[in-house]
Amino acid sequence: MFFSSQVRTAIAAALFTCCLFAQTSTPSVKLVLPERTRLLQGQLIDLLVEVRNATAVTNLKVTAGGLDLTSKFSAAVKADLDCDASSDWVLRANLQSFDLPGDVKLDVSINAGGTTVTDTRTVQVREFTLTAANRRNIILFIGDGMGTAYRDSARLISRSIVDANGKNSFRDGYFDDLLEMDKMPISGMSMTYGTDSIIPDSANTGTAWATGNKSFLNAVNVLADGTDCKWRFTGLTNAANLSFITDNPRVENLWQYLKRRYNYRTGIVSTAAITDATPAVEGAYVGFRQARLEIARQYLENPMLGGLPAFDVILGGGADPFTSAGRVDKRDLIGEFQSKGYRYVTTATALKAISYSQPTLGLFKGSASPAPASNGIATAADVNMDVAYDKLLMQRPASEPLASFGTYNDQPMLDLMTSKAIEVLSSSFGQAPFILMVEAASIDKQSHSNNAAGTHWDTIEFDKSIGAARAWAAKRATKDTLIIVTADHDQSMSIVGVNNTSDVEYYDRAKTTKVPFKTAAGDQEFSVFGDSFANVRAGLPFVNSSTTASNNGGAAGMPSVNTPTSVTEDPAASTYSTYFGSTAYKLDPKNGYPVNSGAGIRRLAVGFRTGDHTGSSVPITAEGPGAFLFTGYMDQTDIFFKMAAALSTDTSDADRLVELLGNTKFPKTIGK
Amino acid sequence: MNRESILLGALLAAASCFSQTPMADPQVKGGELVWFSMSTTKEQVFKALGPPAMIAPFGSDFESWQYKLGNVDHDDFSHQIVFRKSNQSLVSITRNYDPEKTVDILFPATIATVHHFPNAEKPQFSIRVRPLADGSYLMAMGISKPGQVTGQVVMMRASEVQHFYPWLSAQLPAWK
Repeated sequence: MFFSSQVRTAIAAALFTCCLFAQTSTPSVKLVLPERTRLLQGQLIDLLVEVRNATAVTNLKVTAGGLDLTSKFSAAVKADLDCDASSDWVLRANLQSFDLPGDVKLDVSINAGGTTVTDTRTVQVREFTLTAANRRNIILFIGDGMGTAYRDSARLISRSIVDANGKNSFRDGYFDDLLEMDKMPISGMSMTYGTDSIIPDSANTGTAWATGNKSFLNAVNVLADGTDCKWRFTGLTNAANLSFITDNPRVENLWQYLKRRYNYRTGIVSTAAITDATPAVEGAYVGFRQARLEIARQYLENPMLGGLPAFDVILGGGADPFTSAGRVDKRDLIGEFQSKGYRYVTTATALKAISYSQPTLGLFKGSASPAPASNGIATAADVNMDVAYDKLLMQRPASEPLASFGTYNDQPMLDLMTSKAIEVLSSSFGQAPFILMVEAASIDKQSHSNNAAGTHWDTIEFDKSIGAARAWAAKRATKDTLIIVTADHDQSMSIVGVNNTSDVEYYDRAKTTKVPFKTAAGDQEFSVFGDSFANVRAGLPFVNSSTTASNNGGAAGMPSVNTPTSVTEDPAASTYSTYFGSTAYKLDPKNGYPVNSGAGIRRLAVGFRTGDHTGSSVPITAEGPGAFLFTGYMDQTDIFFKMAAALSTDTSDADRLVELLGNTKFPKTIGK
Repeated sequence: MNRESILLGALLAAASCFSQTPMADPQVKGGELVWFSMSTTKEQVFKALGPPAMIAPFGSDFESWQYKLGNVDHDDFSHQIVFRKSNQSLVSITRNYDPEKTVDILFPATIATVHHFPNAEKPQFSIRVRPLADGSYLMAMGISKPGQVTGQVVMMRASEVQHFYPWLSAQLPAWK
């Protein structure tokens, strides 16, 4: 028998399709928990059982350490797991917890289409008890993207201040005064890998330190499940797939855990839109960080708290998802917060005026015309607060965008937001302890666009907010506040030297040099401004053909092969070269920030390899009771358990050891 | 070979000669839609758009090629192109727009239909759909009327719609 090629192709395709979709795979069952699940006593988690390749399921049995949990599970619901058209099922037991510490063995068995299938997981449950005498505060500072180069750059700029007599506070390689975060006695390093990528984002790194468990890119306090195929990696993240974005197993974060069980007061402060990933991990549970409308709703109606608000203090940008105009459901969340007793502030002036314990919602930036995005899960704009450099009304270098305040021209600095959040949280009538997260969001956001000045000054602003918290904690009669400073992930900036480009060149937006080059995707062109040697932008070859500068070998010294075809390709003469030497800035006495201009300035020169996150570990520093726990290399999930341990264990012996570090018989870092 | 396929082939062949990426966006030329089709291969996508920024396997049989072309937020992608791993066939092409834009030209009123999730009585989300001759659907997400802006246009093989939008699959006529 002979067939035409078309018929043969059709038969082959039909056979292939048959094999692809027929119920030929053997049934299986999966407890949707990572291999290394770690929880605190009583920490809530959704338990999911996924059954694949079964026409029907019966006789579920789930035990935890011998205790029968079967009755906690819902009836089996038909599902399309892995998007493979096989007959699958999901059974859920929402918001479960394990009351006793130790390794808890979870066993599941179920009859799947006539076959009994099983699965098992061991969950490590860590002890957590809190006595009335041991109620401590935690302030967690997250410098978004703040790897070591970022801390170093803030130090090199803000602590190399030249006084009126020409004396630099950074001399001979020593600083007179280190950063606030440098002065904290304990330091370590945090590894930030996600479950699906060595390069993480702010969502899954936040999930790590907020819940103690790792997850996937874009995940906010949830674990991966079998329906993620319907939206992850397809781009189909919209309201029609929202049920698959919000059905992932949720893991309770420390903020809700402490509020629910111990009446802690809770807060988030961020210079980002307040529904951005880093603040979201303290108050929401969704599979995709851009589900902003749902995140805002969960701040008001938190699922771990029986629908009560997640926070006592919310300060940040991004008003849009809280407005009726910005929401698909047209709810006025600001009004709803107010009806629950929250005061609402929108300016630095109003924030300065608040005091005492009334719950506070402060949204300091939004768009002119809030509207939902067409995807139905976010707003058309996610409006972050303006960066410190702009709030200080400093002139941006030529390659960086001009400030755009709109009508929001009275935004608070981060140290004011931090101080006010602490003031509100610490002044409850019941003297309840608090846990607060403070984020400097634009260290990362400005790095994505390679805006060096924007990045540096935000890190300096961040350090000032750390200083405000340290000063507050130091004044406490009882040393009851643990302060931790870390980053969610690293970013791609590196320090490459200093330069003395004149202000005339540094700020001249009209003077650019076009650098063309050919790629497989077509010819491309970069505009190089006069500030280029203070900010070597991602993708831009470090073009410097000069051989007179002290630290370069001309084209031969450049990475890769970027041979200039003529000296005119060099956007700058040798006076723009990167030099050895030290940074030198003057201080603006009005605001306490370094000035990025003036005669004699020697700016820090930095380069951005990509402008994106990296997989490098990030530093962590700590001070206060339990700080010693944060020494050494650790996984990012350990931060969650170390914060918990600092609250629930007697750390007095170790705290005394930390105090010994200040003893003069041990060497002390100059400037610390 | 139909006219759309011919136009596609010509454009793909020319793509490598162009300085930009002409296949980045669906276009209308001579009244015909010109973009990728369900017969587009990985090699053709590579030739048209270059190497993806990331390749991610997912589900039991899928692979996603993700691109960052043009103006796109750092945590988003301009294109997400899904293939079946088992037979290398194209499943869907998602094109994200930031800022959102009108795509009325891609959805002639005489051809396009509007579908609502979960139903027309209480719509929470709407999609404009245009059936294409190669056995796929072109979809504009989140819009129901001409003039509205969308952040996303998706081309998806008709037989795959059931996996990603089962509610939409139930509303669409069986593809022949």
